[in-house]
Amino acid sequence: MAVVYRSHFQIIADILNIARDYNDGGSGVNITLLIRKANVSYGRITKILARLVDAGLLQEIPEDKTCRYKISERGMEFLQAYTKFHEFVESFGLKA
Amino acid sequence: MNLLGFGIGLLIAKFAYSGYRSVGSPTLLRLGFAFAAISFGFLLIWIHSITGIVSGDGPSNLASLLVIGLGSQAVGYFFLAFSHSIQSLTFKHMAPAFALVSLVIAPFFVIPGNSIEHIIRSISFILLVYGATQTIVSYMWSRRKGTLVIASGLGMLALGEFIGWYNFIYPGSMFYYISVTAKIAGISAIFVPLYRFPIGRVKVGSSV
Repeated sequence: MAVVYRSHFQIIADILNIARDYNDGGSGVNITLLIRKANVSYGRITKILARLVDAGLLQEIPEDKTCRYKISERGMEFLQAYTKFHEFVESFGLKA
Repeated sequence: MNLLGFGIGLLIAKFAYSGYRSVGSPTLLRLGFAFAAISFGFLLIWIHSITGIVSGDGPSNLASLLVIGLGSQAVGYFFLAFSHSIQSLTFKHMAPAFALVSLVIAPFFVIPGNSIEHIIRSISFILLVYGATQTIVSYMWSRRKGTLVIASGLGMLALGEFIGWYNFIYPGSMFYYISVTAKIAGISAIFVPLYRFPIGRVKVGSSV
């Protein structure tokens, strides 16, 4: 079976989707769950999360020694736009 | 008819560019560039044909306009083929093999090309055949009907370029008009699966 690689934007969309779907009672998701569900290494996900927090797509909620992440309103908008344009690009047989 | 091609190309380009503005994906930027160039090419070809009709001298006295128009479209086709080649390398598809075959076939199309127009048409043809083939390969993976329609649209554009190139052998024949019709049918076929997207009314959001 051929290996299918995800693009950088697909990984971002996966992370945002997880943050939305596993938002436990509005308290956000922890990094361990994000790593496990998004299948991204710790080193890579920390960089992506920092970028998403900077862009205002995720909210960082400090908790003890670690942080939880919650999708923001802007993140939801981004996810909607990504889904729409991803379909558009896929129609051309390409990946966003 | 070329004006119709200009309008359709511009709509797709605008939607792709707005996608790039809101999501930031370089694939959308390449698609935007591609369709903007194709659309601009249609506009120039339309101006070329309309000025020929108005002056009554025929279109041949403004050949440079036609060459720039076709060149602009070739640039657009290049961006489409380039987007596929990048992904093919990622997925280890058959891109290097197709590129090699294209390079081998190219001289056969260029042989009678004592005019720049026909050389550009032959390059466009090769790029479009490559793009259509890669889109069909993507269809085999995804089984999306829309992808197959876009592949057939690219195939029609390739056919249009091929017939336009054939006009060199029989100048002043019906080949030119058949070529334009095939190209418009091709770009219309590309637009068909995209009608469900809100093309023309796009909200620009944030980018990552």
